[in-house]
Amino acid sequence: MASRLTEELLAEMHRYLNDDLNELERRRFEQKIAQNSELKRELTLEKELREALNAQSDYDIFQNNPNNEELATLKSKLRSDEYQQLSNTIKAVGDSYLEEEANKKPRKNYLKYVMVAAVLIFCCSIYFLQVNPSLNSYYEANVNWNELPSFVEKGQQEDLFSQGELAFRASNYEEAVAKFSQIETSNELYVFSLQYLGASYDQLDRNEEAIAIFQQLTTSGNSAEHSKGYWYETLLHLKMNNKEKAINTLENLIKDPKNFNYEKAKNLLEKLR
Amino acid sequence: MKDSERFINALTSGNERIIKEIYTKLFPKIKAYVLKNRGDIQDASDVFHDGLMYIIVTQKEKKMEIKSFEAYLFVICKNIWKRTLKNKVIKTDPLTLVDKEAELGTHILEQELLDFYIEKFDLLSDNCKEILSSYFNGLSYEDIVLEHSYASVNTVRQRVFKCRSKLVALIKKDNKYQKIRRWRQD
Repeated sequence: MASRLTEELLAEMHRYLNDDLNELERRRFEQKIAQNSELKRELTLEKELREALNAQSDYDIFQNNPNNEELATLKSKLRSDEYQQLSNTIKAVGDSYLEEEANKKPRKNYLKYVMVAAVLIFCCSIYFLQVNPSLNSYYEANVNWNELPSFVEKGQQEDLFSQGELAFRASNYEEAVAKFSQIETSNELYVFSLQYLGASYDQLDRNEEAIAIFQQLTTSGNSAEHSKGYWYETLLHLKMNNKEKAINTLENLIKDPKNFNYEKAKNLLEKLR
Repeated sequence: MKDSERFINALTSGNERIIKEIYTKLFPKIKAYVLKNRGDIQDASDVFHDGLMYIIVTQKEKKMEIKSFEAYLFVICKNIWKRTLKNKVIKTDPLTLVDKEAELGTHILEQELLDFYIEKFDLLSDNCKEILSSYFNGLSYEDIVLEHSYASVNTVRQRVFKCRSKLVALIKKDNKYQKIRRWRQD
């Protein structure tokens, strides 16, 4: 059954959404909604209008993810090189902004303590001048495999990639290696499978194999995603305290400002030199 | 060139220097909002990134004028955070992983819908905008009588109905609404 919205019905709907109806009125209104498809659509529209025009409202527009062509088109657009590159640029700028902010604060708030620390450091520096700082600490500070993009979707049939990703997220790295190694170069997620594969080797401490995979990533294409190979390879060299190789890899990374973590790489290179 | 235009050009072309300026000027406000609403600095950073990506996607598709970039980005980020919070509550299973692009895609569709309604609302007369603002903010008809000095509840009821009908007609007349209706699963 469908009937048009009237002044009275709209007033009733308004009171319903404001939670101003008593129990009996509420149940009657919900019955009307259930029997009247036109009214049901008006209620959805009304909720959306409240969401758009009311700063305080809290409705869910798409109660579940919209499952349709529009979303699929958007997703593939967001996964394209052009958008991935823009997304990586924003992330890199954001990271460097946050890093600068984090470095600023303590100076401001704890200036006194920093000065005391500076005196202490000066006094003790003679001992520390002899010691090389551990490169491993740079690895620890920068490695974050949780950042790898996820492609597992709820309700989706499990393919090789999602099996690998689920194993990786469950810290089942041997199984992740087994799955990701089988992904063909023709697979649209191939560049991501290399990232997961390298990360899995890293977690298993099979460092040389991880490096080989990241080198394969860098040489298998020319997008921002491929350039991640340089960054990850650097991390592995740092983990293995191999300064020279880390510097070489970073030098390759900063050849193109569009490469992943360009700013971060420049800063790190200065520190290492 | 106005700030809005300069910022949009920088985002769509990936100009790091100006994107940094956007962070310096606008991130603190978003961070304050997210931290106040049960989030941490990483959440704020993710929301800000997604908000900027939304602007890139929509502006690349169809350039539209944004009067205040700051206000616009703030509303977008607020909506993204509200949705993220809801999803956090729903997803209790740690193995239910989030597809980043699907999540961002949903934010984008949702925000596009809200922007579409706001655009139509802005076409109404000042009188209609005034009464509908109170109405959509959940004021009862009795409160609207008091707030806008109308003669009676009956007058408010008629006025709200007329103005809302105008708004709905503007919405339904636009072909984009048919497209939007297909986005929903209902």
